[in-house]
Amino acid sequence: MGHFILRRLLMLVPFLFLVSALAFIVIQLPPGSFIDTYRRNLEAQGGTVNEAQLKALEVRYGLDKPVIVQYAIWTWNILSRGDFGNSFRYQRPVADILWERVPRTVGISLLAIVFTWIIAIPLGIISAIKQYSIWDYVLTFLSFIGLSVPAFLLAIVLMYVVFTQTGWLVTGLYSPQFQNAPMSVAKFVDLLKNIWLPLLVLAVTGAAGTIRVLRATLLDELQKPYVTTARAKGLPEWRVILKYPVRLAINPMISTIGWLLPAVVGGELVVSKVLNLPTVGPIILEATLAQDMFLAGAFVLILSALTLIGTLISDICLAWLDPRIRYGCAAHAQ
Amino acid sequence: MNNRWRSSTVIMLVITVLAVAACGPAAQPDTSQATSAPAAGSQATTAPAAGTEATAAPAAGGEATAAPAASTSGEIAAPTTFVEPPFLADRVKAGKLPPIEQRLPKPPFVVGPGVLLQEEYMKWENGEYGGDINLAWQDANGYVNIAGGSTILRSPSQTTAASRPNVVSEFTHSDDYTKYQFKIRPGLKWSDGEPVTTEDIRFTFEDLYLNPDVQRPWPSELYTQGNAQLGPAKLNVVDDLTFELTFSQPYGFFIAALNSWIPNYDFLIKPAHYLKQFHKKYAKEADLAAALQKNNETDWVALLTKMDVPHWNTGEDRALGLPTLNAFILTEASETRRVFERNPYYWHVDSAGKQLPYADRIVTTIVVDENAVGNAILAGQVTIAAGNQVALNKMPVYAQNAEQAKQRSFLTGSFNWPVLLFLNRDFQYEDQNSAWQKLMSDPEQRFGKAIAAAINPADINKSIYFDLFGKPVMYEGAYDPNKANQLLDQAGMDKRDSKEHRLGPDGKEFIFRITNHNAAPDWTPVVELLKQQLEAVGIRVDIENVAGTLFDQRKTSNDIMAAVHWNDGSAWATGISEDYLPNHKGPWSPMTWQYFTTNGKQGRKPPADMEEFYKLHTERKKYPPESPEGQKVFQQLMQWMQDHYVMIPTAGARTTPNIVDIRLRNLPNEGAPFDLDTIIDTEGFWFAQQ
Repeated sequence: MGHFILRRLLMLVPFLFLVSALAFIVIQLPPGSFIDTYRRNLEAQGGTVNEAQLKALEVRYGLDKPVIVQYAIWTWNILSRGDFGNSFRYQRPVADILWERVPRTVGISLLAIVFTWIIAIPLGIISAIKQYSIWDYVLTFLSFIGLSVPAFLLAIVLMYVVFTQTGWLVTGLYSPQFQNAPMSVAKFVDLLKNIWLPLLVLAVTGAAGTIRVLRATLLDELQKPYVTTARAKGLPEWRVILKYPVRLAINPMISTIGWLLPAVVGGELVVSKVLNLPTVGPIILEATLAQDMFLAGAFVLILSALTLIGTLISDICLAWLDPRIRYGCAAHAQ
Repeated sequence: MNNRWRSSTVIMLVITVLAVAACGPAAQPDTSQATSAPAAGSQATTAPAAGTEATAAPAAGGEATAAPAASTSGEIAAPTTFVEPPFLADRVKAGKLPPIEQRLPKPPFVVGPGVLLQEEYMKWENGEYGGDINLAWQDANGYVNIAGGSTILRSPSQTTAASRPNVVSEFTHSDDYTKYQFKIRPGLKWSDGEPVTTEDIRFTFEDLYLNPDVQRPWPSELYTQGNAQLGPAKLNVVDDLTFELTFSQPYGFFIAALNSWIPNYDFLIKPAHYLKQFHKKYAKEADLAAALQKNNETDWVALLTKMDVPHWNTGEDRALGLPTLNAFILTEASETRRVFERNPYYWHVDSAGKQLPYADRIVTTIVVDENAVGNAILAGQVTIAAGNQVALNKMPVYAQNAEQAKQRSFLTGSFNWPVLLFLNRDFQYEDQNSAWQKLMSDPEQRFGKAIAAAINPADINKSIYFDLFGKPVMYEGAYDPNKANQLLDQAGMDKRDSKEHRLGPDGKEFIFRITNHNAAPDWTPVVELLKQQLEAVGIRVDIENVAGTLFDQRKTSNDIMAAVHWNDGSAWATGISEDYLPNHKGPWSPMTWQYFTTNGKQGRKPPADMEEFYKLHTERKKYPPESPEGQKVFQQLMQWMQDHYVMIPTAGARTTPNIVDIRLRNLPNEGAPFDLDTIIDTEGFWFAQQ
C-alpha cells in the first residue's frame, strides 16, 4: 500500500507539467491576447489608446515574446520563487487573488456537500427500503426533477418567487452595507438571509443524483443472502440495514470523493454567476475570456493538482472502508 | 449783447467739438487693449459669447446633438466665504486638514447654472452636503473613471466651445493655434495637499515621455494635429505656475482634447512628488529596491508605469495613495467593494460657498455579471444607473419596481449611436479582378447608394427598439427598394442566378459578407433584419459571427468586407470623439489609414477620393472643432462620408433610460442629449431630504 501511494505521488509532478503546458497553450489559442481585451474594454467606455501605448503594454506584460518563452519564464518563477505572476486585469499577484476567494469557495462548497449528504443519504435509504411505496415514488419524482432542472434555473426561479412574495431580493452573499463590515450578529443574520438560496439549490440538485445511486446500490445489497441471515439471527431491522448494506452502498459515493476536491475549490460557476457569489468561478471565467494567462493558468494548475490528490485520497478512503480492496498487494496475496 | 451771445456760442461750440474729439480716440484704446492682452499676437478665450454656437450637428436629419446655445452670459459670481463640509469637519478640528479657505485655490472654479450642463438640459440648484452614492458595477473602475471632473478646460456637456479654464486659471493661444499658454490656479493642490506646479508638467514631459529609459509613449492628443509624424508638443516652463506648449503646425483641435473627459488631465499633469519615488533618477537605491520588493516587480520602469495609474483604472488597488485632481479619491479597495471619498482639495465650489462634490462618498459594489447589476437596481441598492448598465427592453421591470426601490427613471439621448453598417473600401484592393473593388471604385457610388436605399431603419426601429429611437442621422428617407433594385442593375449586378440572387459585376457569384461580433445584445437581431432587407433586393448576404478579438484581427488584416459596429457619432461635431476615422470602430478603409499614419511606409496609397478625405481630416485638425472654420470643415467631412457611403446607419439616435434615486437633484432633464452626463456631472448631484 505504501509503495502504491508513493508511486502515485511521484507521478504527480510530470503530470502537472504536462497539464500546465496544455493549459497555457489552450488559453493562448483564441486570436489576439489580453491587450486586445484591454483595448475593447477601454473603447467600450469611450476611451482611446494609440498603437504605441498598446505596444508598450505588450512589452510590459511580456506578451511580445514567443509562447514557449513566456511559459518557461512563468514555470521558472513558480518553481524558484513560488510566484504565480501578476494578473493583467487586476494588476495584483495571482496568489493574492486566489487566496482571497478560495477559502470562501471551499466554505460554500463544503456546506453544500454536507447538506447534500444530510438530505441524500436518509432519503436514499428510505427510498430503497420502502421500494415502490408512495414515499419511493415521490422521492423518485423529486430526484428526476432535481437531476433534469439545471441548478441555475432553479436559482433564478427561487430568486424570483422570493422577490415577488416577500420583496427580498438575494443579490449576493451579503447586502452591500455589510460587505466590508466586521462580523457581527446583524451581519450573520444577513448572511443567513442570503446563503440559504445557493445552499438549497446546490443541495437539491446534488442530492438528486446521490439518492438515485444510493437507492440502486442498496437495493442490490438488500437482495443478498447475508441480509436474510442477519434478519433470521434476530438483529433489529435498523441495525441490519445500517451496519452492512449501507456501508457497501456508500462505496460509489466514496470513490467519487476524489472529484469533490477540485469541485469544492472550483465552485459551481454558473450558480455563482447567477447568484452573484464572489467565489473563484466567475474570476476564472473572466480570466479565460480575457486571456489573463497567469491567473487562468495558475488556476488550472491548482485544479489539476487537486484532482490528482483527490483521486488518491478517494482510493485510500475506499481501501480503508472496504476490506475487499487492496492495491499493489496482488503479489503478496499469492 | 450780440457780441456776447456770439462769443458764448463759439465757446460752447468749441467745447462741444473738443469733447467729441476727446471721446473718439478714447474709444479705440479699449479695444486695442483687449486684443493685446498677455503676449503679442495672442488671443484670450473669454466666457462663452452668445452667438459663437451654431448647429454643429451632422448634415441631414441631425438630432439633438447640436452644440446648444451658451447659457451664461458671463462668469458666475465667486463666493467670498466658504462652508466646511461636515464630513471633513472632524479632521479639520483635529488639525489633520487645513480649514477650507486654505484648501481652495484663489480663484476657485465656480459651478452654477449652465456650467456642467447647458441650462435647458439641467436646472441647477445649489445643494446640500451629505450622502453616499451607491453603485453596482462589474469592475472596480466603472463610473468613477469618467466622473472625475478634472479636465484642463471645461465646457458644458460634450461641447468644446466654452472652454472655461478648469485645472488652469488662465488659458490663451496664438491666432494660428500653434502656441498655447496656461497658468495653473494659484493655490491648487493635489488630493494629498501638495501644491500643483509646473514641476508636475516638466516631470511628465522630460522624465516620462522624453526619458530614454522610461520611453512612455506619447498620447495622441499631444502630437501636432494628432499625427505622430508631425512630432509632439514642446514644453516651455515660464515659472512655477505658467507654462507654454508649442506645436509645429496649427493645431486648433487641441482645444477639444483639453475639454475632453477622455484623456482627462493626466495626459499633461502628473503628481511628480509621488511618482519620483519610483523613478531611478530621483529615488534612493534602497527605497526603490524596497518598493520593487513590496510590489513584486523587478524592473523600475514597470513599477513606475504600474503606479502611474491612468484615470481609466482609478478604482484598482494600485491607485490607493496616488494623489489626484479628481472629485473623488479611492480610500478603500477590497475584493468586492470600492469606496471613494470626497477630495478635500477639490477646487470646484458653488455660488453659496459649498465645496463640490456635495455627496461625501461613492461606494461601488463589484458584481459578477450584468444581470447582477440589474438585480441590484431592482433591490434598490443603486443610486444611479445609466449608460450601458441599463437596457431599454428592461424598462417595464424598472418602472414596475420604481416605487418600491424609491427610484425614478428618465430617458435621455445617448453618447453612442446604434449600429451602423460599414463598407470596407480597401477589401481585396490588391486583387485586380475583385468584383467588390469594382463596386467600391464606382465614381457614382451606386452600390453604396443601393444599400442605403435597401435598408429600412423605421422597420428596425419598430422591431428592435420599441419605436423609441429617433430618425437616422444620415440618409433619412432614403428607403426605397425600387430605387435600390434600379441602382444595382445599373451597377452591373442585373443578372441573377437560379436562386434569384444577383451575380456580381463580373458575372460570378456575389456574396455580401457582414461580420458581426455581437458586442451588445441588439446587434444580432439587427444583422438578421439587415439580411432580410438586403435579400429583398436580391443581394445574397452571409453573416459571419466572430468573437471580439477575432474581429480586431480581421480588421487589421483587411479581411472584412462589411461589418456592423456602433460609434460615438453624437460627439463628433464637438470633437470629443473622432471615431468616424477609417479604422477606429468599424473598418471602412483600414489600409489607407495605415498608409496615412506610417507616412507611406505601409498600407495602401489612398486613391484620389480618399486623398480628399485625408486632406479634410488634416484641415479639420487646424481649428477648434466648434469654431466657424472648424464647423465648416466638419460639414465638408460629413458630406464626403455621406457621398461615399462609407457607413450607413441602421437606426436613428438612441434613447436610453437612466435610473436614479428619487432624492437626487441636479440631474439632467428628460430628453437631455447625453446619458453620459448623468455620470460625468456627479460632482453636482445632491440628496434632497424628503
